[in-house]
Amino acid sequence: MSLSDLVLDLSHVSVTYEKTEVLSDLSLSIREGEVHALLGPNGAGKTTLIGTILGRIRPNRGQVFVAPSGVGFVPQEIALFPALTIRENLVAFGKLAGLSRYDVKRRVEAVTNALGFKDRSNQSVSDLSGGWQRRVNVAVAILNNPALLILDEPTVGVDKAAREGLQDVLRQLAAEGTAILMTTHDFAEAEAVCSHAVLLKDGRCLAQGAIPQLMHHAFDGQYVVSVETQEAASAHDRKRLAQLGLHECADNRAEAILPHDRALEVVSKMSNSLGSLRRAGFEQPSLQTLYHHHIKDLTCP
Amino acid sequence: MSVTVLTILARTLWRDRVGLLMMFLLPAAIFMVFAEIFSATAQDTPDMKVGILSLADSPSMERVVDSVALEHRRDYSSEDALLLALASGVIDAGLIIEGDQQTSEAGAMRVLTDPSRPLAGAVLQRQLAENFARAAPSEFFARERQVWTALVGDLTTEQARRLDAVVRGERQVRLPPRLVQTEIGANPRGADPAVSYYAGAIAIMFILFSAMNGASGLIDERNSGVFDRYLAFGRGIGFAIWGRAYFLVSLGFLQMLAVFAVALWVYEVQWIEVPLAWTVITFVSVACVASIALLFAAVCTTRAQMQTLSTFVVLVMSALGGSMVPLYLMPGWLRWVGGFTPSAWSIELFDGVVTRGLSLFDLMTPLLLLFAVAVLSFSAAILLTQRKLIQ
Repeated sequence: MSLSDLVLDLSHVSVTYEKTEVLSDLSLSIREGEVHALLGPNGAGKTTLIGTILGRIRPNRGQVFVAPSGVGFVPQEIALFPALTIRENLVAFGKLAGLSRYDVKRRVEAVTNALGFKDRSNQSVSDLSGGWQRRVNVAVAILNNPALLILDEPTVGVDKAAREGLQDVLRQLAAEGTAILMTTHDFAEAEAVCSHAVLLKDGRCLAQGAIPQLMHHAFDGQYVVSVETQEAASAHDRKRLAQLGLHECADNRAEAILPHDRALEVVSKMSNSLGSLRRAGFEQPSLQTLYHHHIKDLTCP
Repeated sequence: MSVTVLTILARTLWRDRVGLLMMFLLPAAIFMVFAEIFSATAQDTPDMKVGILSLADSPSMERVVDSVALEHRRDYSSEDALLLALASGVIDAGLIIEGDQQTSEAGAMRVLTDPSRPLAGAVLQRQLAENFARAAPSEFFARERQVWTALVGDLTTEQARRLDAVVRGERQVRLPPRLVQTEIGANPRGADPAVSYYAGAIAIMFILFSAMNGASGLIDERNSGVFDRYLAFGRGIGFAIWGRAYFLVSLGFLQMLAVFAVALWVYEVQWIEVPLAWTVITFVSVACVASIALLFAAVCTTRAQMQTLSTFVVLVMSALGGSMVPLYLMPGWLRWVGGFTPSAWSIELFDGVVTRGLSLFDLMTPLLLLFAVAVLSFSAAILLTQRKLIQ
């Protein structure tokens, strides 16, 4: 890794708003081609972090470095001019991004081809489906070929097909070297697209790094054992679950994170000792497990 | 980049055909309505509905009534029917012909008015009195003779003969002037002053409305993340506000032009004779209005908030500023309050230049006030928008 491929570097950044520290001593580095999932509950400081990178919020302490080739931002809302066509939006935002007339033409063509707008480029944005509007929302942000693309919940309210289409676009951009930072509440999406994760809570970074490393560090080869009963656990069953180290969750479920051998043992014991057992099994921890492990200090979602 | 924003907004408006029609046709249509109403009231014979009850068969009094040239005359057969029509608003004023001047003890005619329309009665009475001598000279002088006989006694035979000669038109006399005479001043541009007044007054009200509506797009851009995009591009947001200001000023200018074009072609309001002054006034007025609208957009958090606030402010400012009723018809304290509104300054400028034939140098105070408010509001709009977005 060299400094030359660093596109974003936040060093000990703190932001205070009305005497409340909304970001606290946060450091984060993103390099070319990395896709970072920014995860955290509401009020964790995700929006503040994005605002700080965009230059909308001035940090009280720390330093923010953004690569000179700039940032592309995809807001959660559809931030386009709805009466204009896709092409007109792209040309308008290209000009507003400061591209030359030649570059506007070149980039609009490139983005139109890359995101599959060719047949729709003369359609008004207001006439497009939600999925296509999201695509245009992303397209506008990559017009100036930014080193870093920031997406705020890019697939909210989008159907599965459109979501997968957008995920392909993001993977393609990352493969071309664009660094991506995206907030999402969709863990499956984050796992499908992201190479790295940043977990925020109360303005503090609880964990960050490559997702496999984070998993390894948090679980070290352990498995998630989950047990589901047909009805609410009886007092006897509860006692038994506790003895085996399982935490009760909602929906008649209980979970625990255990080493492989112990997981096998617990699952086989469950099968014999719980009266109303519906299902018992174990699997490798997911990003969601990691999130709840750090954010809620529990295994259960 | 501001020009790009202007292009985007113009193209958006162009595709909203209903919005486009509303912006250009509605002000012109409302202006025509006001022009028709107020040009009618300024005429000698307003278009009033008058109910007539003739209690005496008097050709001379009928001549007096006919001389007023009432377009909407309704005849009634009883006083009750006339009073009912007056109370229910079917007629604006009532007139009872009670008899000849010579035969009637009480008086020849009685004008009746409803408390809600006192002006109608006053206008009718004035017109009847002015036409009396011309339409029924013998009755008029018979009445005068009765007055003087009551005051100084019977006329001598010679005096009575001379008076009869005057009544028959055989003798010309030079009468002293009336105690009170009304002189209407010069009308430099020829058109009906009430009509040219309302061209500016109505246009500025609608420009306020459309500027507020146009500026509220700034809130949408701020809330949807378009401004965040601009920040990501590293271009700041000042150009977006300038671009919208260019758009609002251009739009306001075209709206003003549309209203004054109707004023010129339909009502012959000759503003075209003072093109430079008209352009300066229009530019300063729409710039002021646009800046105020942008300031509101900077202060408001949501479009709904802006809509509520702007409707209230535009209506109050227009009412106080003279867009609905001229300031001179308002009570003193209201006129004083209205004098602080940009609408009033703008109307004063248009009225001064287009109607009264004044020059811009004669109207420096309202011109400078509009300019100052434009500069201050726009500066505040930029500062507040940036402060709201960049913390």
